[in-house]
Amino acid sequence: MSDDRIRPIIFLILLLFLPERLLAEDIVIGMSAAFSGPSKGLGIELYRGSTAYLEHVNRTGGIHGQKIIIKAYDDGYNPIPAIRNTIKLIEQDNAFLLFNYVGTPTVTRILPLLKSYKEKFVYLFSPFTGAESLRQPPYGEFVFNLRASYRDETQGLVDHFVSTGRSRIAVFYQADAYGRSGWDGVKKALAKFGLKMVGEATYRRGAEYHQSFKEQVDIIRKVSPDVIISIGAYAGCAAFIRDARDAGMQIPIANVSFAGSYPMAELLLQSSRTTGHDYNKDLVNSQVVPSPQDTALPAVREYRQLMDKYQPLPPRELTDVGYAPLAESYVGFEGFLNAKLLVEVLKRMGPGLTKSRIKGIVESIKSADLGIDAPVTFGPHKHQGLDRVYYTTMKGDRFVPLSDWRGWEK
Amino acid sequence: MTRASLFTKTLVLIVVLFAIIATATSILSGWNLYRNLTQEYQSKGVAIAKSIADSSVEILLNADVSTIQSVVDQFTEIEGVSYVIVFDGQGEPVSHTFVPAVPGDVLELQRQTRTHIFNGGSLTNNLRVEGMGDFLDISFPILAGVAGYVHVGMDKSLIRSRIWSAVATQQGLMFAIFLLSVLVAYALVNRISQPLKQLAAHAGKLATQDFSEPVTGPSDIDGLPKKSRDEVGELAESFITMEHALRQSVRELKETTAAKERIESELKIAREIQMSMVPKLFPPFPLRPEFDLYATLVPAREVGGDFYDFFFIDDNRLCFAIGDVSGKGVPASLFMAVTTTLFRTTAVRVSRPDEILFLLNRELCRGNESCMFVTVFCAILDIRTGEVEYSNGGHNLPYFVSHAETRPLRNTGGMALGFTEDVTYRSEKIMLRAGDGLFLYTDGVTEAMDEGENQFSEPRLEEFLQQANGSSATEIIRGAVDQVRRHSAGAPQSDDITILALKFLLSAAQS
Repeated sequence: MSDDRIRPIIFLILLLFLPERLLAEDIVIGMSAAFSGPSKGLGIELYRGSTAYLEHVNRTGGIHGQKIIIKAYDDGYNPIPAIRNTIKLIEQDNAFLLFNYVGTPTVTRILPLLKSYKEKFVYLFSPFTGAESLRQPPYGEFVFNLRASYRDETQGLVDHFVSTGRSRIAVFYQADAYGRSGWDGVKKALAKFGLKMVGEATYRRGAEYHQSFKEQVDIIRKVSPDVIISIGAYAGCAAFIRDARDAGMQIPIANVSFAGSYPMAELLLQSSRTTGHDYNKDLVNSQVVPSPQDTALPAVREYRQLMDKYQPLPPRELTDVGYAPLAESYVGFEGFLNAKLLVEVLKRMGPGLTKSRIKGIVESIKSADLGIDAPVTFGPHKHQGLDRVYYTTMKGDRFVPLSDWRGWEK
Repeated sequence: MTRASLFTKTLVLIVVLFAIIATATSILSGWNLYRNLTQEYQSKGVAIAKSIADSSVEILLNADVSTIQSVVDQFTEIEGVSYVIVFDGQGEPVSHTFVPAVPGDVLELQRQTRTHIFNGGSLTNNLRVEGMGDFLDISFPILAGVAGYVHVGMDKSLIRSRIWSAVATQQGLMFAIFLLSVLVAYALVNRISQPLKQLAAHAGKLATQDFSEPVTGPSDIDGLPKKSRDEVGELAESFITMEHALRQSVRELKETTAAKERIESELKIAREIQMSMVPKLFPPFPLRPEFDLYATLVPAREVGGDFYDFFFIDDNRLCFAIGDVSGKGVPASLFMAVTTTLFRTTAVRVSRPDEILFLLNRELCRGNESCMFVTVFCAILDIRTGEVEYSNGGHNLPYFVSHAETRPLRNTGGMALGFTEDVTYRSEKIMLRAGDGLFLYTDGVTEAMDEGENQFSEPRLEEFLQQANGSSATEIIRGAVDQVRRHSAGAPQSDDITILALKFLLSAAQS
């Protein structure tokens, strides 16, 4: 065979190897979240917040010359697709780490996967859930949380409400691990005061805003609570609030961070416009990140600036028609902070990324500053970077920090 | 008609059988399925409850209920599992899958069964929850009830729907089989009934068919014995054989009938001829007031061998006779014709009865190859005196009927004519007075039998003649025939009946 004929073949073979070598230079970060269904706002905003920061990093030289790429899959807030996506990310996409997962029922189900891929050193970073199982044995060691837990959030809520004299607390929650996690948080927080929740009602995950929640409202109204703590996704929670207000219950209703304050407020505002009733009145939302409107914080300024600059879009192939991206949101800001933590970890690893070193490097982070006036500290037995809870309420169509609870004193 | 009714009967039978089988199998398989499914669901529920209970021990003790919830949620994805609820050691629900709330019935059941000692581990209860349905509630203790209890609710409606769908599938199959059976039965019945129908139609046509006509072309059932080699084929074959035999016998019958008709018409002509040979015009001699004469001949068949005759051989002498040829029918009538013809010609030539018989016998004996014979009574009345000279050739002796007595004439002792030539006859004389009569008859009168084969006989005749004394000749004969007919009372007439009656009214000499 002559050289003339061999040369093009060699060239072709080299060409085949080329894309893989190019890809190898990117740092692939795996994400499975709700990009469709009633909770799609969470996945999309989390993704957009993270992308805003990663885009900025990638454009300014990347991590030691490597770009960070988020490989995102949609699980629609359902456990089985989440498991499938995770396996795909690990086996097929060879993700360096898992990041920004959304939801308790989904994440609690992939935890055993992390353990079974122990040899591959697969870690889950900053999932969008405050469930206890991510922070406790046997799976806590594979997860690095940034946000405070639901237990932190619910305890804070209960403490504040009990201090205002509102001790008849009812819980409205999603019938799954997430709802149970919040329910358990409330239960434990009440137990410290020697109290019990006066009533409870559940709803099915995946409920839409147009659905009726009168059944749940009736169950809770019967026990005449002072406060309702709601552990759900924004569509279900918003629908419950709407029906509770329509039924004449004007007691405070508190939601935890997962509810996604901005998308929820958006839905309620729409209803307020049509009925004339102010559905956003007497609402409390606990947050695990500072308000994205608190521009006193450097991270908020940076977030708003980068969001404005890059106008990040949802993942192209997962774009759901009919979703209007938010300019800013708590969820988005959390995603932004998650990305900042990720970049910090990757930067600390130095050139030559190896998965086995992730755990040691993260656990060595002490009092890191993400620009939110709260130090982030990890340790071998501390896989939760932040524990501060922020309380907000709505004034008109704006979220304002809630510093004075006396308005609800009884 | 035949096919329709056969088919209908078969169809009804199949439908009834099908209905019985379908009902029986439905009930049986439904019951079986219910038992098996309940058992299966129960063991499934027990397995789930046990698995949750086993995996929950540590988690419950660690107080991480969201993980339990996560475990519990997974099990609701299993078909048939409606709900799962986990109670802690204090009996408080810590995880469940109910929306919007845990039904009171479930809490109540837990309260009731909490104190129950779990023998084999699990406890199964039938639970009806208002607004949710019927469940098989399987409870299982966690750490012998210290750490809590698991309740798994298996949906009973699923069992029911499974049963219904299974029964529906089965019935669908049964119906398909049923349809197939009907089609097969239809084909079968058709195959059997088609030839039967053909046969029936053919038989129907037979009734209107002209068997005397020759067969035109093959019959529509000719192919049947070959086509259906079964009882129907056999039937068709016997049918064809029968038809052939029928045609044969009809043909023969027709031929026979034709022959008989021909003979009958010939006999009719013969009778006409025979009847024309005896005088039938009565009163025969209206210008002769001296006597009254009447005669009749009733043949047993169309033609007979009897005869009578009377004629004047001169102005004052009336010759009259009666005879009976041996045998009956055509030969007898021919012999009778010969006899009467010869008798007339002979009587004109000689005017004495014995001579007439002698000559007549001689003529008859000549060329009498068939050896026939005839009895003849011959008499000549002198109407001026009333003297009757008579001679008898083997015939029944006539009766003399007078006011005083009724008796047979004295015999002249001659034998029947036709045997042998050299026979001589004697004659006798008797004197008739006014009112006296002679009654001549053949043995057809006295030997006429009733159904018990009793003959009319001479005594009866004599009795009749005595009673009829004084009547006219016509009346006597009609009366005699009537009596004989009455005696035989419908029995077929076995012999010719011939009677001649003569009544002397007045004589010139006597008056």
